[in-house]
This record gives sequence, structure tokens and C-alpha cells, in this order.
Amino acid sequence: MAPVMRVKGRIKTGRYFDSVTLMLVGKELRNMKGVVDAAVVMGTAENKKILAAVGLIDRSLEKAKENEIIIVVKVNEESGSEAIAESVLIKAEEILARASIKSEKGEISRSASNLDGAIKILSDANLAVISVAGRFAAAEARRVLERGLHVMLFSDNVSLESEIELKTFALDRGLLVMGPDCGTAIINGVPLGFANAVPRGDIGIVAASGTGLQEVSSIIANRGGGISQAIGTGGRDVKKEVGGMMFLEALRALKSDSATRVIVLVSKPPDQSVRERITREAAGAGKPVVAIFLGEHGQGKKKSPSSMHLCATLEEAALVALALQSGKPTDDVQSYLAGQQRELKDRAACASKKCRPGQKYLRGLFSGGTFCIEAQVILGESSISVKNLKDTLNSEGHTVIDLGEDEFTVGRPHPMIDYSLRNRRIYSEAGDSEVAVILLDLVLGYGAHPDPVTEIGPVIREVAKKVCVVCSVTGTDRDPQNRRGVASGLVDAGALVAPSNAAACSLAGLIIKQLPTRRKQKGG
Amino acid sequence: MTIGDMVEIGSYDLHSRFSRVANFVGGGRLVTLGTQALDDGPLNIVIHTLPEGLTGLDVGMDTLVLHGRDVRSWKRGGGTRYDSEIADFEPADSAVQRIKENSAALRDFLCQRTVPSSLQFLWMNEALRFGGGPFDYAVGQRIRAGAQALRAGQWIEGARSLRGVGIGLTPTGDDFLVGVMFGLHVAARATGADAQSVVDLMCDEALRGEPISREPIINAMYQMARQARAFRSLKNLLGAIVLRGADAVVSCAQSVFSVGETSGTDLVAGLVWAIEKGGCGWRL
Repeated sequence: MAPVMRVKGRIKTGRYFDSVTLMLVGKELRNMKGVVDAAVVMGTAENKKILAAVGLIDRSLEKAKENEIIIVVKVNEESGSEAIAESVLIKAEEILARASIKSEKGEISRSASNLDGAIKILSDANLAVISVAGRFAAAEARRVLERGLHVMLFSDNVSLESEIELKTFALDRGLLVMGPDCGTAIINGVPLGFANAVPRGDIGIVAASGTGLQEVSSIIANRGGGISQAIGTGGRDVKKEVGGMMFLEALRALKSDSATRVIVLVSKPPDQSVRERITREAAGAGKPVVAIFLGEHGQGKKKSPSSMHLCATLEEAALVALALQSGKPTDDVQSYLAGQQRELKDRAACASKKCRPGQKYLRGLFSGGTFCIEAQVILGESSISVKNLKDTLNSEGHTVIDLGEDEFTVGRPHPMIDYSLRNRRIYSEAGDSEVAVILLDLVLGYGAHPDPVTEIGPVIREVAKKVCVVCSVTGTDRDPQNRRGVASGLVDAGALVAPSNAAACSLAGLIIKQLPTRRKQKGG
Repeated sequence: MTIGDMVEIGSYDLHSRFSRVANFVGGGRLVTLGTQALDDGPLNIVIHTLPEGLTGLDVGMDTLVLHGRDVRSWKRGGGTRYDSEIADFEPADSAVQRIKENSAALRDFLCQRTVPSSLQFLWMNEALRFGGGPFDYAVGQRIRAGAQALRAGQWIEGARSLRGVGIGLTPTGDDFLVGVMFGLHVAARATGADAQSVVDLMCDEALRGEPISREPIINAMYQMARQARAFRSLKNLLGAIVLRGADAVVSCAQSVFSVGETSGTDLVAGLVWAIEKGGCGWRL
């Protein structure tokens, strides 16, 4: 006998939401226990007809007008009841209330419509986070600086001239401007933007790279260390035009911070003149400084005259910082990494056996820009030539792509939040009979997708039958997503999970090196 | 301050308020007030900051008055008038060819790089966008059926099938239909054909049959499409499709995509759909 269903709904008047909000609320309701189906829609005549056609309307909802919202749920009468339906509807209203910009019934809320209002609410604030459209961001930042607050400028599309002007103005007043395009920072233990849940500690970070900061701070946290401050600067700060103004200022701040015992610097290679200033500044730090300038070779430069410990990968930088912090020799790190490399070789040998002759290419699909660069560096060192694509929609040969680039994120959330674009690309790459390895990064933490395994797990499960899927997971067990749980879910789905992005890149490269076709070519 | 060329004199009450945009309605007409994050548009008034506690708007011959927690007024002469009429051009085979090529580039971009929850499924052999429960599936099927009817030249049936279908304030089906109308206007200009009668038929059908008139915002969308009046980023896109290359088209499309959550992409989907339909012999 078919189960009996109960349909219950209500009509909301005087509220308007965009379609994505309504779609997400509907999705959340459908995932609730006992719910068979749910919809949150505007009450147009056509929507009501469709609701009726799928058995999702009752008489009380038919009177909804076009400018009213219908919330309707269908529950299994056996598993649930009136009470379940009612609780789901209440939940729906709560979610919509959160999404609404109106404060309910004129209740006083701690929201402000402008900067002065915000300062009035939080009179002791000394930092403002600015996330507005790029063309307005510089003016807002200037107003914040004029009021004596530090700035974290999350917005991008701020002109270079404005950035220089803002940073010059800030330096004169002893203030920091983190950004523009600064996505991550941890200040006094408070994570800002896409940061991870890491404990307080005595390692300080200055980073012109958001995901670089996340990877280094997460590895430090996962190995028992902690972060004093993690200061982002925005990637453009280390270019010649900006002259590393904030990178150097942040370095000076950590030098004088008694809670910071070791400093880690993270960046793509800075402009030469900036690089020299950083070296000079680090020389007088009076505490160890570890640096990863991605793409600038670390080998042979471990102890430069400035005593900066130069590293080749983000993972190495984190491990060296930990060694220095705990008074261990940094050579231990090299031994550890050599051991890890041997393990990766064994895993690669095993994984490569499942590939068929003809499968020969690697496709890296990244959500973190710095991870994409690190992949290019590591694969390049393994003599795997990664193509510069003219058309990033169509992969050729060995390819690594940053799906967080502007060209992929127009009108849609960043791939750390929305996995759908990358999932589609994974299917597409796996459908190419010449592809052997798909290399991915998963970035956890505040702001990132709350349940990545649910999104990407089924995709990996399907494509892992045809290709090797290699993943890194950046984050900690204290993150809302829980790193261990995510890694375990990915392994269950058939992925090879590596302990860091660098290790994942190495593993992917080693698999390519050991593919059957390559062995035959060498042998024959 | 910029004032759209279709903003009419009158008194308007607050209809809906979002973070940077407030919609006002009076006598069934719409005026949208917003900060510079709002595109210039035929029914838009763009000002520097949007005050809190808005309740109403008076548009006079010479002044604009905003009512709310505070009353604020502006001299209209201090603003710029936005001309929303889409460009006209001489029909030519070369223009037809360019439009076809640009439309194909736009379709590829739409399918591969825009919000996955937009109408890409019309071109792609994959799951419907809504992908959730039976309601979502039914919505997707309904949109597909409506779009296919339009492809077959069944303008009234297509409009009937698409009108009001979708979950947001401006339903997906309406956004798509409006895009189709703009696509027909562009195609008609390239061939010298007359799209107006077809657009009128569709508009009449889309606005027919509700117990009361449809949402003022939706009425306004159809009013603009009927008269070939476009907000600035759409106007730029239409101009690029006709006169420029694929790179410019994609660049202009990105601005349209940022309208609403999916409204912009749904509208562009309709635009491409109509141009592709016109591509079958270019007879409307």
C-alpha cells in the first residue's frame, strides 16, 4: 500500500526574496527528516498549477497571490505527522527571516547602515572588514582609516592607484590595510574571511596569498602548533608598484610582537626590490623567519645571509616553522619529507597500475590560486610540462586550472563554496580517455562549503572507476567541516588523499611518471 | 543621479526593499531606486546612497522627493537622463553572420561558465537545473516545453507555458521570455523583418489571465521588452552582439549576468534562444 502523505503549507505576505534564496531554502527543507518534498515559491498561477500537478498544494494555498510566497512541505504520514510538518514550516520561516534584510516588526538589531553607525555600536573596534563592490571599496577604506581603524579589504577590483594611496595613507598613521582582495586573516585569534579554526600559539604569518595562509596555518595547527597572528596583505602588495608596504609593515608588527616567536612569510615571488627589503627586514628580526616564495627555488638556500629559512613548498614552510618553534633541527623536516616522498612513490606505483595504456595526462582543477601555482612548480620540477591553455574551457595535455579565477566566478560563488562548476569539469575531464589523474584541492574553514563530501563525493565515486583522483584537504579538525571526516569521506569515495597540497601534487606527478604507457615507451 | 527615460511623474509607495535597491509602485507602474550598484535603466533612478526607512517616492516635473525616516529631495535638473532605446542599424548579411557567431559564443559561455542553476539545461544533455524534488523537476520540464514551443514558432503557446514559472520574485520563465523578446528585436533589426507583432503577441499572453494584474516588477519587465528599452548592461550587450566581436559580447554579458541571482543569465538564455531560432533561415 502506498504511504499516506500529508501536505501542509502557509503563505507569507510582504516579503521578497531572490530565486536562489528560495531555492536554497527549499533544498534545506527537503533534506530534513521526514520530508518527502518541499517548495518555497512565489504564488503565481502557473507555480500553483505545477504544485498541484505534483501533489504539493492544499486548498488553503490556492488563494496565494502572485506577490506572496508559498511555503509547502509534504511529509510521510507514517514517519511524521502534523507536528513534523509544522516544525518544518517554522524552520522555513526562520531561514527566510535570517535571509531578510528587514528586521522583524521593527525590533532593534545590531546592524548599521553606514560606518559611523557601526562604530557607534562597537565603539572599541579597531579593525573594519570591508566587502563592497570594488569601485566603492577604496572610498570606504579611506573613511575607515580616517577614523583610526585598521582595514581588511576583502573587495577586489580596487585600482592599483587606490591601493597605493590607501597604503601610503595608512602607513603614515601606523595602520594596516590588509588587501585589496585579502580573503583570509586571523587577528588576535579571530578568523576573518576564509580562515580555519586554529588554536592560538606563537607562530605568526604574513601572507600575500589567502590559500597559502590557510595551508600553512592548518598544517601548523594539525601538528600541535598555534598561530599568534596571521596577517594577509593581498597578492598585489609585493609587486614593484606597491613596494610591499603592508607585507613589510606586517613583518615589523610581528617582529615586535612578544607573543610571536617564529615568523612565516608566504607569497608568490615578490618583485626583486621588494624581495631585498624583506630580506633586510627579516635579518634584524631577532627571531627565526621562514619564507616560502612559491616558485623561487628553496633548495640550496636554506640559510641565506639574512638567516631566512627559504622553503620550496607551503608544507615545508609550516613544518620548518614548527621545528624552529619547538627547538628541533630543521634537518628533521627534510628527513620527514624524504620519508613521505618514499611513501608517495609506493602509493603512486599501486595507483598507476589501474590505469590503461593510453591514459597519460594529469588534470588539476583547483579552487585555491596558490595551490594551482604550487602544483605548476612541483610538476615542473618533475619534468611534467603543464600547458598554458589558450582556451581554459578545453584542457590539453597536462593541465592545471584555478577555477577561482574571475573568468570562472562571474555571477556565481567561489568554487570553495559552490562545487557545481568543478564537479562538471571533473566529469568532463574523466570523460577524456587520455586522462589518468585528476588532482583536486579541498579547502575547508569558515566561509567554505559546509559539507563538501556531499557535493563532491558522489562525483569522485563515479569518476574514480576510470581515473585516479588525488586530493588534498586544507583545514583542521576544529573547522566546521572537520578535516578528518572530510578526508575519510573522500577516501571512501575512492580518492587518494594526501597530507598536503604539495604532497598531492607530488603523488599525482609520480602516478603520471609510473603509468604503463610510459614504462613501455622507456622499455621499448 | 541618473533617471531612466521611462520614469513617469507620480507618487509611488515602497513595494520591496533589498540591500542596495528599493522598488516603488504607483498606479501599477514601477520605479526602482538604487545606489550605483544598480544599473542605469529605463525605470531606474540611481543615487549615491539609499536612505533607511523609506516609505515612498514622489517624482515631479522638477524634483524628486523621498519619504521615510527623513524626507530628502533632489532637483531633477541635477541628474542625467538615461536613454534606454536599443540601437538601430542597417539590415545586412554581414550583420546576420556576426549575430550568429556572437550568439554561438554567448551560448558556449552561458553553458560552461555561468551559474549552474541557470537555464543551461536547454542546450545541454544533463539534469535539469532545479534537480531537487518533483516540483523542481516539473518546473524544469515546463520551461523546456515552453522553450521548445517558441523554437517551433508557437509564440503564444510558448509564452503561456513560460509565464510565471519559477520560484523567485521574477520567475525564471518570465526572465527567459523577456530575453526572447529582446533577441527577436535584435534579429529583426539585422534582417529588416518586423518582430513587433510577435513580441506584442507574447507580451499580451504573458500578462493575460491573472486575477489581478501581474507583479508590477514583471509588468515593467514586459513593458520594457515590448518597447525594446533596455537597462544599460543589456543595451551594451545587444550592441556588442550586433556590432562587435565575441570577446566584447562575453565581456558585456558578464555585466548582465550580475543582475539578480539568476535573472540575468535566464534573460541571456532567452536572448540566445531567440537568435538561434532566427538563425533557421532568418525568417521570423
